[in-house]
Amino acid sequence: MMVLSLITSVLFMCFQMPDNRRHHESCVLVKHTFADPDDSLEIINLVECQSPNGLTNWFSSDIKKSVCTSKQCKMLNVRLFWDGVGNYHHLELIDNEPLTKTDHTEFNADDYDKLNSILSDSLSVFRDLQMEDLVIEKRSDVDGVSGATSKSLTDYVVRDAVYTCYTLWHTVYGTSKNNIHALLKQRVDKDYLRKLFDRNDPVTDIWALNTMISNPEYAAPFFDKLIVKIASGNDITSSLALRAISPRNLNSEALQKKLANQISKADDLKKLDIIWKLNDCPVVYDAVIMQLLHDYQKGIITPAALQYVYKMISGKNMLNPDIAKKLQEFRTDKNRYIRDITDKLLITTEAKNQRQPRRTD
Amino acid sequence: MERRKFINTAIFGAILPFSESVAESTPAKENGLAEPGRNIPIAGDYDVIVCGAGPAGIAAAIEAGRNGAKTLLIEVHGCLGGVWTAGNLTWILDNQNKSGLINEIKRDLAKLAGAGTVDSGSSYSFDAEVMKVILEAYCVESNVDVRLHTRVVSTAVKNGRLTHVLTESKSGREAWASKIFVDCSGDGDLAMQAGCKYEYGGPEGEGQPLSLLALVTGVNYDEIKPFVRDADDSKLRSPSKKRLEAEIIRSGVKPSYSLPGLYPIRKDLFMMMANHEYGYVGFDAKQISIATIRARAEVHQIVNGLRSLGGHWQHLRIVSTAEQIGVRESRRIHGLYTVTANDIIEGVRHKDAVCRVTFGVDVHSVKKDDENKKVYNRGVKAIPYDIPIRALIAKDVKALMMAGRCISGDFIAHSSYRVTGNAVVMGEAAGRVAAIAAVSGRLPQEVDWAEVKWTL
Repeated sequence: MMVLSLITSVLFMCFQMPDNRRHHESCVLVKHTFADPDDSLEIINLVECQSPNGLTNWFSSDIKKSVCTSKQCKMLNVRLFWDGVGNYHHLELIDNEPLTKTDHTEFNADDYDKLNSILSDSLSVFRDLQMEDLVIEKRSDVDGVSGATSKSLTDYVVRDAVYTCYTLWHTVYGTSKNNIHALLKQRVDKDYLRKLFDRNDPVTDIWALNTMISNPEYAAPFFDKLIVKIASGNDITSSLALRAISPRNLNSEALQKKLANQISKADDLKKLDIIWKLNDCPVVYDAVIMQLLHDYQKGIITPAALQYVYKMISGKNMLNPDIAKKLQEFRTDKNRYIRDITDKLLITTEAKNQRQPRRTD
Repeated sequence: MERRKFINTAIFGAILPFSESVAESTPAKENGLAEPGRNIPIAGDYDVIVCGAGPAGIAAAIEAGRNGAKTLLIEVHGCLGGVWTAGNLTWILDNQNKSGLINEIKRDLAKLAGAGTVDSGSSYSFDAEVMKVILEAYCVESNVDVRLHTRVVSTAVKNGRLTHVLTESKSGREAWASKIFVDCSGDGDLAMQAGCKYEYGGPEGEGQPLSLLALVTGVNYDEIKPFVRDADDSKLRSPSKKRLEAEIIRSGVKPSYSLPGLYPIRKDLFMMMANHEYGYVGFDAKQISIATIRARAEVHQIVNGLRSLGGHWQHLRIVSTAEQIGVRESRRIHGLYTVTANDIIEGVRHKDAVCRVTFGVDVHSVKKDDENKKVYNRGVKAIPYDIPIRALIAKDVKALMMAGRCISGDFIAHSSYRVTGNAVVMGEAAGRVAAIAAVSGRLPQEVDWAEVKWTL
């Protein structure tokens, strides 16, 4: 088993995050130990700073390993930090021991900045590269792993420290991150997600929303919170919140109306997304259709968007006298396009109704 | 001589001297021929006429139609989409964080299995055949009349206002009346014919090269990944292109473009851009004819060459070469506002912004010798900037708007905003303003921006 939590132990109480960057409250430090998937004789320690409400403030792991097979390079000796949902946060030097390059010169401030930005990029090129892709030539004076950095990588990595970048990136996004996610996954339930949302932290929100997208069963109890996030103004959170709402869960008039109410607060892009979401519902309630028709009249949605509203109108909706009356109004709309698509809608629906066999008693 | 190399030399080797001789031997225009005067039938009377059905034109026409304007879309090719379809440019650059039609297009492409399936990074790849049919469906749905195989050849201007366009097609010469016109020809053909002043190229009149794009198949993405410009490759500044160039050279062909690219659509379908035709003007029929013939020969040479290498190239085939050679540089029509390099440097914002451009300066070398000397961004560090509606309204002729790469801008700015993701948004804005103006009996510049209800 790749991720195996061997030991979990409470270290000590009332610890604060060393750099004061995030979540300053006191926490319990919990040490988790995992088997190293690359070497069964090794273990990996992960320290978790757990707040009293059970949420994680941060994780850290001490990394001491060689990035060079020549035995001429200094060992890496750093402490990596992740936030409470497993996003890389920062690194610290252990015992102020600096990082070094292939020529043994020490990293300068710019090098640390660059390394930090590389480690912050979860989609880094390192994702699909192997060790052997990193160099293009080998030098006779240094051992094989210390050749010249591939030209295409030179702008992307810390100069003369490509293996350090590679090794740390794969630690941040490889085994350690998998271990963190495995821990968090075990804890996910309604209560845990509620606490995450209560943090009002966009980063935590993104993790919670992605969890709901992959596990739709968790989303339903949070409908109201998701609705609020759709109109949050944060494009990423807003898009994820909308994705987390399954059309199958929009199974009442009240829920559909709550979603439709967000249209007036959303930008054009999101307005269409909301309408498309409603479009995917098996049934759209009359009151929602009416609201959307009113939205067009008030100039809240465009003619293009109204066309998608028409696609969600069923024959049953058309039997509603208010909807029928509104559509009749639209047949004389000042916009020629609206008149035409309304006519088409009415003609198509009438034809459908005529095709359906009528019951005679 | 190997058979493949023989074929490359025997057939395509003859084209270059042939095309050069055509270029040189064509006599200068003679005295001319007087055409008898004739009455041209008015084929239609519209609120908005859009000339050119490329990314800007389809957006302009659909939006005009949806805003209640009786709209005609005139296109010289046999399909809608312009460079996306007839030009084989199956990647939409600068398409993210833009609202409107572009999202409808992406959604419907995905629904109809027309979206690219290989990660191409920030660009959006698609199947050109699916794109064609989607665009036609939008026009039908929006009540836009479409005239394919029809070229705008002249205009009528009365008191400084454009009143008619004249077209030629299999139906002969026809005149079309409209309240507002939108020039989406890319080359600014309509505006030029109406008498608008324009700029072309850089300070010395130099223009970027043309490129004939091809769709190729018969290779497997997983096997040729090092030669493919995909999302991973783009992060490394696309080393795939130099690898592909080396591979083409290994096959005995020296490509005219030193950064040839294979752009994935699906694992078995790629767009190939490996050709640059330098020194040809995109709005000169003779010159683009020569450039097209040269380019098509080269594209076949390159594919034949790669195939001759065997291995993972052994089944490489061309699906199609573009009907329309890709034109980067063309007329930039004078508008009420001119987008400049300075706008890009400052990341300028406008109250009447129709589009926020995020694509950087991308000047393809104006001559072959510059390919490895001049950087594409010309030293300009781009900050996302706005294009105002004023840059889409013609300065010299009334009732005329532009959208796409022929809007009012300078050489450097044009190289940034010219990509198709921006063209769609510009077209949409022009279409909406044109419709409002036409239906209310005003000129585009008389429409209050607040009335347009435009959001970026």
